[in-house]
Amino acid sequence: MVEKNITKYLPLSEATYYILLSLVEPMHGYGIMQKVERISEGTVSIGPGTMYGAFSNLEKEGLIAMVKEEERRKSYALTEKGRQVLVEQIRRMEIMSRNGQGVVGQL
Amino acid sequence: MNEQIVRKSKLFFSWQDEEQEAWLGEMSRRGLHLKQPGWLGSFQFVEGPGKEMAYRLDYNRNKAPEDYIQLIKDAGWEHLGARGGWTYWRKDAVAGSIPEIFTDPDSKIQKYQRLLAGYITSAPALYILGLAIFKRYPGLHPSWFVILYVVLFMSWIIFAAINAFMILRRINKLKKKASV
Repeated sequence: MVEKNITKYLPLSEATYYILLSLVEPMHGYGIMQKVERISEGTVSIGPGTMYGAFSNLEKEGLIAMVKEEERRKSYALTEKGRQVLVEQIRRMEIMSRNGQGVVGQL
Repeated sequence: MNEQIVRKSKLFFSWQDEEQEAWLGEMSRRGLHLKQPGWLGSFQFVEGPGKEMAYRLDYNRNKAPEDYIQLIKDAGWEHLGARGGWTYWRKDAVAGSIPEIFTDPDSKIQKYQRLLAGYITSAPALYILGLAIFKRYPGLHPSWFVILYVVLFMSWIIFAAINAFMILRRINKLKKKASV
């Protein structure tokens, strides 16, 4: 049973999901924006205002933490709690995806 | 290089940020590119070839944090200036894609909440300021100054209330968009 303080964040928005995914290694905001654009194959693009707001929210919730600041650029990384949220989100998406694959032939 | 400066005035209310963005974009299309925003709806433009540009306004009551400004600059936006809490940003609109600073309803809602907070806190701030003045100069009471203050205070309350109402309408519209 996954704890309530992890599941209350789920499901993550597409943007938040990709932000957390990017933060398996420390990264600054613009780096994440570029990475998300690339790995989502252009399906998700995050504006800088939204990126900054996401940083504050995720930091406040303790899912990410600042690890470095240089030249007015803050780098963040996942916390243990953030890692747990991401793992549970991925598990749920695998279930969703399996269910989808099961019916896609009938569509 | 000889820059031709053109001044134009157009008043926008605080809830008309998107209208202002569209107007500035239209000016650029016609070859007038914003150089600097001014006070009370006065704008300075530089003449040049017409171009497709996206203008975006952000609101921060106090000076926006430096790392925030840096992030927006890193994303390719040009900082045109700040007036009365509003920061003016511009970016080239490349072939059909319109760049955005805020890409989800939540972050747009947060921007309007920052704006709303300014109007809500302005009333008690003004009230306290008035009390402080009367306390400092008891001779002012009763006089034309008190009447002037009351009239100004009431006008501001009405103005702030209209602004708050219109901003709340924007927030509610965005909230409907926020959930699937």
